[in-house]
Amino acid sequence: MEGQEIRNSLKKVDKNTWESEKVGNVPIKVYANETILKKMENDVFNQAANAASLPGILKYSYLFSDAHIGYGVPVGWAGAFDLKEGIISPGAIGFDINCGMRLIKTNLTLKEVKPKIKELVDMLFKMVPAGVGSNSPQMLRDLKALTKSDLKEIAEEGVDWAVRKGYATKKDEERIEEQGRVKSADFSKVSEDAFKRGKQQLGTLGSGNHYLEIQVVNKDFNKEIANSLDLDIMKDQVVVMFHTGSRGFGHQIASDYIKKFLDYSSRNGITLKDRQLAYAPFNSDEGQEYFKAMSCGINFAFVNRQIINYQVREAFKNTFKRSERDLGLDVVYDVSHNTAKIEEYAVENKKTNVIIHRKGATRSFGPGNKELKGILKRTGQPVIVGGSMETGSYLCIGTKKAEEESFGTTLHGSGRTMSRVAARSAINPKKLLESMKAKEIYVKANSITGLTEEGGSAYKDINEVVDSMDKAGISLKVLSLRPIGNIKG
Amino acid sequence: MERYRLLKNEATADIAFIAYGKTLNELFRNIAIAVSNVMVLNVKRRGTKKISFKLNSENIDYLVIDFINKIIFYKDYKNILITDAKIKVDKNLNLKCQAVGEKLDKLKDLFLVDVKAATLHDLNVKKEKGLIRCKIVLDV
Repeated sequence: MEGQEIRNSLKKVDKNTWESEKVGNVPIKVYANETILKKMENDVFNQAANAASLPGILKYSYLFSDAHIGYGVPVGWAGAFDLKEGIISPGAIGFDINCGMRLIKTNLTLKEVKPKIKELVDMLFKMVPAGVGSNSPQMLRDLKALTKSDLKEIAEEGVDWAVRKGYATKKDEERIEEQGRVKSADFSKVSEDAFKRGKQQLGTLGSGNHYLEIQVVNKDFNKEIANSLDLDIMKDQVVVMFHTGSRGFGHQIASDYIKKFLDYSSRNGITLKDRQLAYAPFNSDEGQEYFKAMSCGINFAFVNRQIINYQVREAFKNTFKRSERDLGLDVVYDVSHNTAKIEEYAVENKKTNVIIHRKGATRSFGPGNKELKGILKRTGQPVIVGGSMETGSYLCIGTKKAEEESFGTTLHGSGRTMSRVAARSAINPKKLLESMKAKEIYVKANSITGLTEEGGSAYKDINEVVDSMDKAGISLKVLSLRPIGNIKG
Repeated sequence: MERYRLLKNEATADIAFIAYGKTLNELFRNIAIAVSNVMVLNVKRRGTKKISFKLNSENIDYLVIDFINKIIFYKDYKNILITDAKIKVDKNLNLKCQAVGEKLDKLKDLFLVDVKAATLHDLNVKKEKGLIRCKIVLDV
């Protein structure tokens, strides 16, 4: 079945949930309202159908409201695979392994931050390197001239390494998915090239849709949960959100193993529907090697975001001349949206470990999940949904329904509607800057042309995509957040 | 003959282009120029740094991927952006590259977007009207 036919065959489950016929091994399940669904490209359904044909896929090939065309599978997609019969595929995880979001709260209000926003953003721009090929912050001694054995520790220990070196606290770890460390990491499965690309990039933001933002709590949808997370505790509370991943280290791991899996396919007579979706059986030697290398990428990204977190704390202390405790710079949560991990779910009424692939999709665990620590056990897991630099972002919360229905997975962002090249000509840089100024958002970027690629009109309406998932009961809205300062690479 | 053309209606989240060449040598040179221009606005082709490398791949598609990934590797590892290259590709798909480039810190004010990987998505190399054309999508 082609994309258009699949779209036409979708049956409405409710206003925000749709199911196709079986396409390959399983049907496609889409979470989106009718308006969003109409705008999804036909190729999104072709790619979801290719994924539905992969060996060992369980229940559905899932699409979320932010889905758009990706490589191999769409961005905004998830699929769970049986550990014995299933596969692992870099194309179903994404090049930027453990690309993710972190949200930090402050005890500051807009009134306190506004007069210093330029100073703060300029300071952050200096302390958090961003842009093409940016290198680790020079002021951090531990990151200068990282050796292979240093990077092995980082890749295998994750945020435990950062705690040891004084860049993180145990309290931070509680608020990071997997507590900042997946134990399946084995650095011996990572190539020399990945080490060379990664060793200078810890603590850097990168470019493209990666950003660091100062935001203000805009609207609350669930005050009780927000307050439990120490948010919305005062009017116009300021928070910090950033989006980045495993930089060149993760990209090199993905590139290395796509090549290895293409070779595996040709050696084993596997016909691929899409070369970008090359795979190996999860239990094969090749599959296990990638899983261990990819896990190093996950840990690297957690440490990358932790180093940025450290620099954010320093920048606030320098700007406001107040102590860290007084500023209240606590991690609200850190979530991944490009991973494959082993998680336990009920499949045909039996508790089963699966290898869940999430590409541009966020874990969404509900209250009581055994993976969650402290207050999160009561509230559920925070889901951070990044929007464009003009339109704002959301904090949502995971649900039991997601665990039961979508292998604990929901959307990750607003999703693009316009290509970068199209945005460069459609969005006027001068007008964009004027519009951001009018909205009182101070931006610091390496390039204005690069900035136009990220203009609000290049993205879907974040309110609509978040609302769709909320109404489907897969992740629930807690707060909307609006930007007041932004750093882009 | 244009060296390359950026594609407006493809690669929603990333960058797609078609590069052209009368020969494989010219095609690969134009791919290098396109990749550097995707990353840095109006970058000058004359660079002060020299880089040489060799590659061999089992087919032309993989050679394109390996070539672009090598450019990305030097950008991240040596902080040098390759801006132009002399290329020789033989019939066994052995590629010799003598490139020039510039240190990234000298280009800082002109950065557009970081290219992080070459993808196999819609990748194709074919002959058309006496030219070799290669369509490629870059992950940025």
